[in-house]
Amino acid sequence: MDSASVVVTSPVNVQNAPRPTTWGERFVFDLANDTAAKIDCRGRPAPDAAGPYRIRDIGRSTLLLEPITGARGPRLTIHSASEANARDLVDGGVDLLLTDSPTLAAYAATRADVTSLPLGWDRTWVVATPRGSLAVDTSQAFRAGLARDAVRADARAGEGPYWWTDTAGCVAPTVRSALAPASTHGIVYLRDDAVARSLAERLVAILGGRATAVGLAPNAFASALTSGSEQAYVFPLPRATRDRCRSIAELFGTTTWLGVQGAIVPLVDTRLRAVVRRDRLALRFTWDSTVAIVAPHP
Amino acid sequence: MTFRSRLLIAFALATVVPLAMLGVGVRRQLTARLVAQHQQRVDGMARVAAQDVERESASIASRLSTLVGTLRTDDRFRMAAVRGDPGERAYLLDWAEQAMRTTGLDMLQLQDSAGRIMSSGHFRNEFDRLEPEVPRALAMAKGAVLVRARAPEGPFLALVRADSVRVADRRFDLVGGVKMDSAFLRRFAREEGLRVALSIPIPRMLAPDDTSGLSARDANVVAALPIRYFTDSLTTARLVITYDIPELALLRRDVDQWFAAALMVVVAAGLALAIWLSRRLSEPLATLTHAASTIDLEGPELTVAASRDDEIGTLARRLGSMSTRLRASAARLRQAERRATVGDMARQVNHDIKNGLIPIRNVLRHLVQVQEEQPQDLATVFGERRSTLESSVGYLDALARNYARLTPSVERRAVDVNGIATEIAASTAVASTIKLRTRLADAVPRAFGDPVIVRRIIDNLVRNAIESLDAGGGDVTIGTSRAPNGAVRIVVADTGRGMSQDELAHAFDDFFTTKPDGTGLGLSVVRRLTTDLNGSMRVESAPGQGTAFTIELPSCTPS
Repeated sequence: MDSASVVVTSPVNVQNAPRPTTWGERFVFDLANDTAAKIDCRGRPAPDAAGPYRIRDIGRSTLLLEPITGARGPRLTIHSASEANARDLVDGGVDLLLTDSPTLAAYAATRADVTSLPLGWDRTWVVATPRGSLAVDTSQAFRAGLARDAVRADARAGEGPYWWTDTAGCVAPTVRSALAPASTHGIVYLRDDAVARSLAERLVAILGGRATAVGLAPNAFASALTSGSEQAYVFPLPRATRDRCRSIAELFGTTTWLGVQGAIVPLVDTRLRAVVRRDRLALRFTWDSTVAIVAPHP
Repeated sequence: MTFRSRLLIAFALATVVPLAMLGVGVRRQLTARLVAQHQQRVDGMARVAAQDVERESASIASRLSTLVGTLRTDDRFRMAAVRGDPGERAYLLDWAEQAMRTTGLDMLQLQDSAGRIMSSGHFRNEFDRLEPEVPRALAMAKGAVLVRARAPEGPFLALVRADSVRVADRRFDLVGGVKMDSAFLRRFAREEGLRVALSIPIPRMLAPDDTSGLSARDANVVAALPIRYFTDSLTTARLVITYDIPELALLRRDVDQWFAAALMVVVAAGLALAIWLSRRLSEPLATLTHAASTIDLEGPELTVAASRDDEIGTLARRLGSMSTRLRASAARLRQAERRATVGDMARQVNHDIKNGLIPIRNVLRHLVQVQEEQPQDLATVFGERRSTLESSVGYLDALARNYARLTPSVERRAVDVNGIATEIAASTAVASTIKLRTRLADAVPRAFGDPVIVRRIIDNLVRNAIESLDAGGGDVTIGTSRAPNGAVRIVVADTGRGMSQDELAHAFDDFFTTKPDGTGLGLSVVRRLTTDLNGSMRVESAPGQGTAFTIELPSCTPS
């Protein structure tokens, strides 16, 4: 097969490469990366993974991925679509649908020539607070309620263990000595992150008072996260990491206030679903619960 | 503050204040008349806005009624809300959002009979929160009510209504409405210049976008429309409609411009007039002041501005008259003083002559007695008493010379003071124990005076100094120099007995002397002669430390 069409129900902005801000970007950037997604879920090398790819933005939220010279794999046309548009694309026939929407996956799976596959729980959404914990219940029941009612994604209550709580053997993270009082009552999240928005809004609803949910652009969010000026931050962390200490260093390097009075509370885990047309694309599950496209044999 | 400054300020106030009052008055009249013209129109707009609000309220009610109808036949809703089917819970949570979009509402929430939010369209994840107050307040109001609705991004104002539906004997309330934001308010502003703002009593004046600048000054025409408002209780908010009359702003601007121009012209003219007038008034006053400061009882009469026929002329004439009277009084005083001095002197002369004549008379009586009783001894006795006669005659001669010095006639011209001092030093015979020396400065200007009088002044001082020396002798020095004020300074100093404070106090009195054979006229004469030359005199002395007389005479050269 020379080419395939892929639909992801996540914003993809190639300008954010190589640091993805959404799961859709992570999927695309991994395809473009020579070293990513080459290890399967058992930790064994996956020499049959396609790519690496060269990305071309051809407009209308569509990307064209072509294997670089010497690489193997089909040419991929990737559509970044809303749920409504994704339904149209599904009806038009796509080779792979990656979505975090259970309803969309269920709709796509009604086609006879596809197989719907739940991927592993790959991300945990956390609420990070620079100045102590929020006055909300973080029990298992509460988190299960969040996963069931608040989030419109395939979600469950956050379940440990989490790599960021195990700092043994890692270099002690940098700790900020003092933190100014919060300048706002905002619970902020990345603007395009629907799960984070849902969680932030639920927290606002429970907290009441002057709390507000504020969606920020990636740069503004990164800046706010570094400064610790907001009341709370909702964002996803990967559930798996190949290098725990490096991930801890990166997390605590960004949020230096975590080591002072800060708290990081896991809320929900989510996973994606892949709906793939049979006999069109071969997929391989990767170690971090995403999928890699298997290159056709020469 | 000077008279001129006060006059300027008075002029400025007198011109600016009335003009400012005129400007303000014109502005107010313009505003009042135009506002009255447009008020009716704005009131009409307010009535239209009220109808619009009513229409919107009816529309909301209609849309809610439609939703109520659909709910009654919505099985998935029934499964979730009545039977509590967890599989349909997501449908229930998303129902309000879908319904809100379908009906075009901005705010919609479904609540059970306890007031628990079961589904919220504007705040999807607000489910399960208890809010029974709003449906209750809406039921009481029986119409549209303005409420502050919560949203994830912050609260917003919404015009809402309520409806209810019974499903399986359970009551559900639907609260829905439209956002009362600036876009909504702009719908009421159908004409250019109209502005609509919402004023709510608590917590503060809301400013949905463009109510800033809605001040009394700019709000030309205002009409207010009451709307029921619910926060903690039902109260009343106001939809405020203002109309900025375009021509009023133009007229105001024109009035302001003309006022500014008029103000500038009036102020400039007023200032020029004030400056001219203050000069007219203050210049003669300044001249008069200067003349008054130079009034001299010996000088000419004051004639400045005396010819004017105004208050300044009167003042000048009065001043001149006063100067004349003063001059006459001074002349009378001088005359009286002179008469008193002449009288004193006459009595002194009489006394001195008598004193001089007494020994002569005694000698003559003695000689007459000898002639009558012992004629043969007359020649012998005459010989014995001859010295007494000569002494007395000599005394009288000296007295006559001294009195002659009291009536000098002054002929002023340039006088070489150093020359006179040198001459006196050379011609004055002194005992060998006395050293008479000069210390004359080279750059001494010539004095303006009478050389005879100058000689007499120095001569008297030198003689006085010599006579003040004890038997052991001493030094007498004649010094000259140029005084700092340009005058010619003459200093005659001695190392004699000096004078006590009491002696100094009377040193210049006529006939005061501490010497047994002194006349007491020397220093008195010096003082008068110095005064006649318009000079000044001072003395420094202390007992046992000598005396120094300093005379300063006007010089021929300017200082």
